[in-house]
Amino acid sequence: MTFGKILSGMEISASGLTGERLRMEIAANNIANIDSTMTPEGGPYQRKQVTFAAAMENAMWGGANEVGDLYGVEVMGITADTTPGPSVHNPSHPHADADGYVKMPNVNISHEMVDLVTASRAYEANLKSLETFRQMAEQSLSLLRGLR
Amino acid sequence: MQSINSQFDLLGRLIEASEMRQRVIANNLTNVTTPNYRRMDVEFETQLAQEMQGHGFGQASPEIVETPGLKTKADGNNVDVDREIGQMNKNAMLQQTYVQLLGSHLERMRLAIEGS
Repeated sequence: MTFGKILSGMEISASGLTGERLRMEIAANNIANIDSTMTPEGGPYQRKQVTFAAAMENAMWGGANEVGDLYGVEVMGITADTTPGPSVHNPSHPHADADGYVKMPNVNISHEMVDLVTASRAYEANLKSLETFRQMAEQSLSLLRGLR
Repeated sequence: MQSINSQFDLLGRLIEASEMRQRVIANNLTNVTTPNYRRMDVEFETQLAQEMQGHGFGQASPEIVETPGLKTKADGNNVDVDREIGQMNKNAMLQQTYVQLLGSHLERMRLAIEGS
């Protein structure tokens, strides 16, 4: 009974790993598009951000996890930041408007780097707790080792 | 015989509580960037102490509770990663202690049965 819960606990950490990895991917995508002045939707690239929510019932193991509401984290959505980016005077640019200004993406490199580092640290913390789950399960299993 | 049975029971309950606490701490860690998430913990040892002194309400059972009095960040979240890692290590050491105690009880019983 307890052992099954330890395994479902690993799912909690796994949801955290998935979430933080997504956050890193989003930050990397923002950095990659720091100079994209045109997107398929038109206009410059808008930086994306991911929002998290504490996951609730039947997210995992079909509700077999009856004690409390611990299901880790889930991604609520990826939203575009609509604040306007800077305009740069560059008349030779193919996307320049009539006055010679180019609308640049609203990506701020230092902001993205901070996001990357926090995501990476949070990923490490989740990995550490996954490792602890493994150690605890191993400890419990070691009780069986004495029985022959 | 009574005493050895109650030891098994006690250690089993302690192991169960520490495994539950590990799940709660893991949940805190995954929600470190979730807005308005409040840190949770498992409340068991105080209740157990009361039960053992004979003035609790029946059998103590582990409960998930919110931790009061923590500093809240700007997004309404009060999880501190360093604190969680510390608590997680402490909890894992305790679980290891309980399991090894249980193991040595089992070993002693085996010795008593086999006689050498």
